[in-house]
Amino acid sequence: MENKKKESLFTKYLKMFYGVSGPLDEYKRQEINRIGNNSFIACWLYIATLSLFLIFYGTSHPQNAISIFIVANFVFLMILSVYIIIATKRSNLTTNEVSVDNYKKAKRKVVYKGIGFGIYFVLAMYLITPLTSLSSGNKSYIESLKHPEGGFLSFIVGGLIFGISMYIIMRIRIKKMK
Amino acid sequence: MNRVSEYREKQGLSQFALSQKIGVARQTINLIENNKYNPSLNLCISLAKVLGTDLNGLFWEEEDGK
Repeated sequence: MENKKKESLFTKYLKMFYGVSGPLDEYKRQEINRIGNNSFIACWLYIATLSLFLIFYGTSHPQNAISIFIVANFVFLMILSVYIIIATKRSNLTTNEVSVDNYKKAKRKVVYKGIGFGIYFVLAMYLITPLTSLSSGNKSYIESLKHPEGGFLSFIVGGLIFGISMYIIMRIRIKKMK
Repeated sequence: MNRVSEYREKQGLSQFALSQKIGVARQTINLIENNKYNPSLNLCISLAKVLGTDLNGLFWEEEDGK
């Protein structure tokens, strides 16, 4: 009866995106669908409203419109992220319940995940940050990769902070069950 | 009210042990026992098989409300 089917790549992506721990059973899938649908409706309304705003205001004041567009997108993404965090927590999707036998293994897994997140953060920042200097036109992308503005240490410190934060979050979610 | 918790206790299983046997989260078992979530037919059949009963025994309400 035990369900040991291999998870598909999409299931892994869903679990990673919503921070779901443990098996993605039918209840969790239903909750994810509900949260995702709510987010989709909010996105649809937001995009429709913003498009109308750009049509009416953007044609006459393009520079102001672009600034408002960027800020509004950022604020909307933040609101959506906070909603997803609260909704997944309320539905108990993020709690990682492990048996006493698997507790040590789960703790070790979280350490590896934290290290992985830290490395991912360093690489992403290393590749994305030089793009910002492209807009100012001071340096080429390759030049910025060779000599990053804040130095390599800033990426490493950022990666450390991110990795440790992710470790703490995932560690808090582990619950020992008898 | 369903009788999942009653059959589970008869089998000497905790919510977590039952959830591990069926391959769902413990929260799902808890929600089913408290009538806060309607499981799919497949999950009901899995529950009945593990708990050694049938669907009527688990989910059918008798006339006296049991």
